[in-house]
Amino acid sequence: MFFKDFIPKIIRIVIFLIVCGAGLFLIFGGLKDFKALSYGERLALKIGGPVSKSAALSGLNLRHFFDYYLFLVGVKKENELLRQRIAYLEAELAKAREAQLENERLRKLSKIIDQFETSSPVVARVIGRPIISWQGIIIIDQGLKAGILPEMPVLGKTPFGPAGVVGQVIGVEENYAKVLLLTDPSSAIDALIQRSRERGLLRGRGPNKCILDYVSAEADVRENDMVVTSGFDALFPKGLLLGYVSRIKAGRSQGLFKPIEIKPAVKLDNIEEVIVLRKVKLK
Amino acid sequence: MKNLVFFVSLLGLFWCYQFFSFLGVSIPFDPFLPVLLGFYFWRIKFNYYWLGVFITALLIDVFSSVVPGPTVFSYFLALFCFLQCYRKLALRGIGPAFFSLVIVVVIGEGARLLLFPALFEVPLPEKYGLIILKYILGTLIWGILCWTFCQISWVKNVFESTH
Repeated sequence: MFFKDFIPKIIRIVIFLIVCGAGLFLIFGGLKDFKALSYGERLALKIGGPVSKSAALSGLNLRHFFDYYLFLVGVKKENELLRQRIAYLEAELAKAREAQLENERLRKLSKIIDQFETSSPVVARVIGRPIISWQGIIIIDQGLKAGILPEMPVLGKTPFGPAGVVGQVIGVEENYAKVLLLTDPSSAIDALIQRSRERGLLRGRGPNKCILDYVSAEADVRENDMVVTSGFDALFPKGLLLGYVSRIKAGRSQGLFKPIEIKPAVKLDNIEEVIVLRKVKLK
Repeated sequence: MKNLVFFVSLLGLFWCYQFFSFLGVSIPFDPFLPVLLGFYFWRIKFNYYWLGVFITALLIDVFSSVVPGPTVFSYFLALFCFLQCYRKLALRGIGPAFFSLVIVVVIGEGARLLLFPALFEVPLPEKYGLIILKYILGTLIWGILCWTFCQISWVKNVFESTH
């Protein structure tokens, strides 16, 4: 009677402990290898990656279609009769327009690539956005197979053409990589005010906002000054565009330093493609 | 079949979340925790249910968190609270059940957004308290909708006959 009750209980406890151990192994195991992602995260990316990719493509296509459709509504007002005759071509036109827009974006990205001495930069699509909107993590559809490794800089195109820093790779799986955006509070990049060469640490402060910390209270900083990477952190090459000074908090000086708000150069909330630099040296 | 529906539903929810995100509409609440709580009533095989919770939390972590773990631990904490208080309180009437739902959501989301990130030393953005408050409120509203669904549908029968 004793063994009948006791042994199954022991077995249950052992099984419970094994399951807990396996869970902890999945959550934390493998973090220290070169991929910098735990086994569980790799598993989750394998499962969630394709799902997220299909959702991303569907969402983007629908958004582009809506944009183009609205554009066509404007045309319809001017050419109502003609538009009725070509209505059945809308879907095909939307597809063609989408391909054209993609080509334009990729052409701009290729111009950015020309600025760097890099044997084979990787262009990747953004296929995953954070579940919580203020967190600065994105998932891209290129990973270890494309030669991407943690700590590689990630760039994107800015509205004005030049390359801007998006963030850095923090973990990779075979076909996916996890990118930390420069607006995430965990991000810190050594930066310079381009005009006055004042140095500071660019830290993320949530959506579309960064703070340039440790800039001397006497430093020469003006609004709209360009902020670039200093190259001292050995992660980002020198001279990459980070953003612009949007506000100087003069009234909230913190002793020897003055916090400066920076607006990222790249529009991170609707970024669709990025470039991962595998060899990072400006020409 | 139940297990299949369970996993497909979770992946479908994830798909919808990403779809709306890329469409330009961000969902200001946690869609997963209330749904996972709701699914508990459906008597899914024990192993599959907890595996589903674990994988969902891992997915959220990999797509949102700098470090792995916060969502996994907070979901398990919330579900532990749920198992301890909700099942018992729910049978005592709508008031206690609603109160316990509020507690479970607040503990789950609070742990996910504040407690575990702090334990993992993850820096937080500005005005984080306000953001958390909004997020918890959103999740609570979503939780009430899910909970109402559980109370008025087939789940209620399952719940009453099982517990």
